[in-house]
Amino acid sequence: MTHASDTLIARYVAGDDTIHADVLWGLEAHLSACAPCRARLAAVGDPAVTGVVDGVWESLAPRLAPVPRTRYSPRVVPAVAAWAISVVCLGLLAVLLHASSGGFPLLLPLSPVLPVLGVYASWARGADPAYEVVAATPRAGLELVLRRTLGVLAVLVPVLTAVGLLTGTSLGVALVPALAFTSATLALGSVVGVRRAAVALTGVWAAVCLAPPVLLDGSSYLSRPELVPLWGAAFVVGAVVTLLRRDAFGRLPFSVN
Amino acid sequence: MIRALEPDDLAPATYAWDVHATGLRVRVGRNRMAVDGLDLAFGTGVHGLLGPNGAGKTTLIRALATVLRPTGGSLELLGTSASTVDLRAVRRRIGYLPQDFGYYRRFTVREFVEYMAWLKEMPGREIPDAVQRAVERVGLTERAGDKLRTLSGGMVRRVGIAQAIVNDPRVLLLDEPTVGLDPAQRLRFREMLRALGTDTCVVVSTHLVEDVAAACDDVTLMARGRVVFQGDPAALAAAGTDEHPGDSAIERGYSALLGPAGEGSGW
Repeated sequence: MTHASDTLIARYVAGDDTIHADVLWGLEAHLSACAPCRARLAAVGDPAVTGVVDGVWESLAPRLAPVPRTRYSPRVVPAVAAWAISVVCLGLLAVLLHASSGGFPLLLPLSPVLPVLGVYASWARGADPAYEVVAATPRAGLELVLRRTLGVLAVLVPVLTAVGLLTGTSLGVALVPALAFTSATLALGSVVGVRRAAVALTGVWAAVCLAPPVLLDGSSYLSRPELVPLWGAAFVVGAVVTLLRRDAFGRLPFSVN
Repeated sequence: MIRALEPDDLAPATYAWDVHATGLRVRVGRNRMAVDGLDLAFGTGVHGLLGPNGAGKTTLIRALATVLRPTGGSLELLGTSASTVDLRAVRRRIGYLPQDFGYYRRFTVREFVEYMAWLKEMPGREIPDAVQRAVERVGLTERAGDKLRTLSGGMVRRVGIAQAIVNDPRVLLLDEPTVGLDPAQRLRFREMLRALGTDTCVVVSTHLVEDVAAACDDVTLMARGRVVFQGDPAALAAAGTDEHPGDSAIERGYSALLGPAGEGSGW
């Protein structure tokens, strides 16, 4: 294949209309098939042409730039991160204390209030700064509450399971009360708002733990396996109430002003 | 601006007004009716809500945003009653900027607007472009990768506007959107309002009379949960005489219509 001469290319770029029609046709056919000749064509800098071309590129560039994608799609509320770190630390502490003193694992008496705080951190007005904009979106409501609650449980359940296994506590005792309190938070939260529900349930739990019979008997009172079915029933009741009251999660709590 | 048409955009509307309230009542707290028997009919255009603090503007906007359930009367948004349980379809077509716009400080501008687009159930493949458009529209392209905590108050407000318009809403609700914007930004914001108002039903609450005069097609003046006046800005200006307090015709009209109530409770 013979390539186009530099003179011919220069005349073509300059728009020389004395080039014969058949030569012009042959040159264009060759250029469309031959990359090296196109490169030489591009190297010929006729200011009139390059000015226009550069102008077009400049105006197109912002629109052609790929839209940067975010590294991750944020799906949880920031407050949950602090909660998750404390749960993991508490888990480690519980195992260490058990290993050193052999006593009843510290984490288990706390286990019911941990998810209450987690649900609070992930949903309540006050803990979620963007609460109001989020509440007005179509995804707000039961779906988003459950997504965030599952996020909380995804951290809590492995920690409690690990603590239970390492300290020889039955999994029912370690997990079911926590699940019951989770569903109770949501159920009560659908009536009075998650913040009040969290405060109330934490208060109830503190009262039960500090009540004289429990204090005397030590934490073993809480670890009775025969109570596990009751906790299970409480979980189911809470879940049913939450489901029935699901409309409440897409609205602001009654008390806002 | 090119965007894909959704079936919802092409379907003939079966309702006369985008926002239609009759005898609307909204209770706040145990027994205060913040909105008490209000009639409204808004279509395409920019509608200003004006009134003294405590007139019920924020409560009304919250009811329009479907986050507060109406206590009485009827409220229809895009032909759907705001009291129904499943509001997803309506909420997808609403944009909302609350008065206290809360945000996640560690998110970048783009992450936050993207998260809001996801919450508004936009299809995943449309989200990056829609976010880019919204961020460009509020003039934050250069700060799109910056964390929200590094932005100034006016910029955060613009992020709030970007998240409200990211889903190309049919009904756009803005509660005090010009708070924290400097004069130049307010001018640009009004321009944007007028542009949005050509094909969207925009409801803007404000206590700044000059915002209304500059950008709104009509004004609704509220006091104590009720409508005191409805009409275009010129009619509002015409209601005042030189004897009424105020530095501009519209301000004088505002004081004339509100009477003693407009002079506020003890201030």
